[in-house]
Amino acid sequence: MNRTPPTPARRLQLISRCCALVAAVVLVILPWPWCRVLLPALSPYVAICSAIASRSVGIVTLAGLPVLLLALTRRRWFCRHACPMGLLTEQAGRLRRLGPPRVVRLPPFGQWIALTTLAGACLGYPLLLWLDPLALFSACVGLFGQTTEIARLAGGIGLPVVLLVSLFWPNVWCRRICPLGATQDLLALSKQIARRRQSARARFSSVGSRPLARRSVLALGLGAVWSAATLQWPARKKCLPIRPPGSVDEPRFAGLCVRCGNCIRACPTGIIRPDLGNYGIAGLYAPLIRFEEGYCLEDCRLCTQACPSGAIGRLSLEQKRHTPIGLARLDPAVCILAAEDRECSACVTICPYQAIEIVFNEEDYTSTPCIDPNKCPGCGACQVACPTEPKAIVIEP
Amino acid sequence: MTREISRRDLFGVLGASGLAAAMGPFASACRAGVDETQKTSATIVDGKVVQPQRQLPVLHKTDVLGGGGGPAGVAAAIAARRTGVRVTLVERYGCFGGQWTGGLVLIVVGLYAGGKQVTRGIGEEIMCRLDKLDRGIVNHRPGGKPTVDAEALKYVMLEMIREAGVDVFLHCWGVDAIMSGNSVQGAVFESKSGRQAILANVVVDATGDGDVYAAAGARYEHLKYHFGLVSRLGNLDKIDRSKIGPRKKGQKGPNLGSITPIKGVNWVNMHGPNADALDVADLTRMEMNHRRQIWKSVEKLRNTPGYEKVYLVETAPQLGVRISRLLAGTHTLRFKDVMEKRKFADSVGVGGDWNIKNPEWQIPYGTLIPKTVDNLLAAGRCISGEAKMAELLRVIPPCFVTGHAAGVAAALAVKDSCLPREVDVPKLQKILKQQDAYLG
Repeated sequence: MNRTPPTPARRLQLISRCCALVAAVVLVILPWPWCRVLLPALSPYVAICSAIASRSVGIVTLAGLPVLLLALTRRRWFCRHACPMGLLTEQAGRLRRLGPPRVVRLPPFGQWIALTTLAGACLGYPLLLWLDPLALFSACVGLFGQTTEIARLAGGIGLPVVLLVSLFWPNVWCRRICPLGATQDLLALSKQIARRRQSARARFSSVGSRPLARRSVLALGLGAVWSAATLQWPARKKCLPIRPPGSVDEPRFAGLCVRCGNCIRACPTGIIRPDLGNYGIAGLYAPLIRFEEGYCLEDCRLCTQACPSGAIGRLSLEQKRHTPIGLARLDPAVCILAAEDRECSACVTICPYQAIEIVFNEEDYTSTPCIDPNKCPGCGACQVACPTEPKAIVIEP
Repeated sequence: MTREISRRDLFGVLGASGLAAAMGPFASACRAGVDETQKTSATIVDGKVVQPQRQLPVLHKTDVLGGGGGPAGVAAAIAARRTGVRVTLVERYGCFGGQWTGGLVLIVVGLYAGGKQVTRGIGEEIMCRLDKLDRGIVNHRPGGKPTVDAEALKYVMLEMIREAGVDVFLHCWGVDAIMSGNSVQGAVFESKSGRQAILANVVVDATGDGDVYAAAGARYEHLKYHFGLVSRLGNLDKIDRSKIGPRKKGQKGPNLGSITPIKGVNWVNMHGPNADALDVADLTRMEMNHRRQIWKSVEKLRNTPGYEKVYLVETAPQLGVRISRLLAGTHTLRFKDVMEKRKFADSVGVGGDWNIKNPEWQIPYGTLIPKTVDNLLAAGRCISGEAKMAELLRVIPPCFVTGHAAGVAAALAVKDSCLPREVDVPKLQKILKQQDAYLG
């Protein structure tokens, strides 16, 4: 085995990728939500599919534009020069120097993944958006110092798995599986097709574009059927999870969420947790809200600024206050005031929105906290304050 | 030209002056009666009931006058006396304790925050004395919710006031403040002896309703809050369990209240509807409705198999008014500050948490001082806080803490010949700590 010394161009490429890796880590680690949102948002795969699925183009979507435009002119430039995942997989591949590099013949899974997701996005449910390498990278790096819980750490398993794949089959992830790489391929391809059409039209020739591969059509069809099925038959569970404020409607949420973990880290009270499989496989590791120690603060909107894919919409503080995440519901049989006339009005006192009022019944001399559904945004302050066990007042989605 | 005075004229003059001389003592006696025995009844003038201006007898002169003998007033009186001034305490009923005894709110909640006892000082001292009495207090242990016996507490408070050397006037209802400009000079009380004045250098308003500061013209917030009437049930140890069938899961039995130091006797809370505690019509209506309701619910209980022997020991002599006025002080305590654990340099005490799971909260001195009125300090539930603070302010421990602080501050103002708002706060804090208060 003899290695050729790197050419100056390759060296330059290595330096730029190293810089990009450092920049990516810094972006993920810095405490400001707008920093964290940037890395997964750079991906045109995420940008295109989430924009189509959510039928909206926000300021975060625009972050995907530079790489998108770049891909049109210089195919896979991003992969070669800036992708933090690319550098890591390449180095992982080099670790295994035993024997000649195995050449694995694989079909372009990445393109199918991208097309399946695109078709799903058209119906509102981008199926495999979470496979985006930048999101996998964010999810893993972002976990450092956040938790020691094994189940939560498992949420960052994407990056190690990719590295493991690269260790055994070098380059397979980047060239054959990565949907971001495939998206860039497809973008370049679409431009080629367009150009060829133009030239063909110029020559008055009927010999047109390369016919779309049958498998690509199949992938599109699969995506459409799969996402339609997911949307049509959502989790049959009676209780739905409570999502962060400004989230898209529940059936689409699990698809739009890229599992980057940004919202979970952004939450100052730590009430946003990853779903560890309590609400079906589709929503695994998507964020949900648990009111155990804290509630959704009335003067905070950090999670709404942290989402790269629009699963959680950006909200102003005023909008956030009027965007319900759930509704408080009281069980009068458990409430110590309603059932036993004991001295408690914790929920009334704590409610930041003055949404709870104690209603006195002249007939049987009972006092029951009543919730005004027009005022209650489901922030959970009452649930946390409620002294009974189980809680007499709980937030329901 | 002179004329001779006729004999008839002479007799006439002599007769008139003689009559005047004879009547003189009687007329002056009448005048004295008008001034001193207050026979200036109200009259109807032009269809309006008016009371003529009159001079009030001064019943007493003192350094610090405490209005109201509840937990705040008692703590203030003892603290001021221990700081070394003459103190007078005036109470409208025949015993001390306010809602703690007369209202039968026997439980003490809010002593702790995060497992630590944060309200100490005179309140704790009272409970420690109750410990020494048989059936004086239960659950007085770290983390517990002490519940006292009202009679034991009445006795202990009276003894402590007596030991401290406080001048006491019971059965006096405070009706007005005595003002000189913006400065309070004492208060007017109505009693069996009539309307009398007590003059003082500093007045501590521990009336709970802020009656003195309202009369003195201080600004305040008027709240309509729920109020009920507490009662006590007896013979709870004679419930026949064999007649009560097994209860289904989650099913609750009748409300029998919470324990007291006396075996078989529980106190029963009542939340009650919102009403105006400063309106005599509301007070009357509440009292009448609540009493009927208690009787009916006890009758219902006695008709339940197994509970036949349970009986109503008593209803509280005092309506359970929770909050009525909140002072507009130089510092208004905010709920947000409590939840955000804000610290105050002029802290004079700390409140605990009860069911809101709030952290310990400092009570700044400014919450006791009216914005505009001088020589007056508020103590107890009626100090300065926003409406949302009512829930925390109205329980017994903060009343002790604010009473303790107001008592020491009033005594310091007298000793240093300054206004209460000019009191040297570090000195105040030092004395409070010497008297075993916790300031956070």
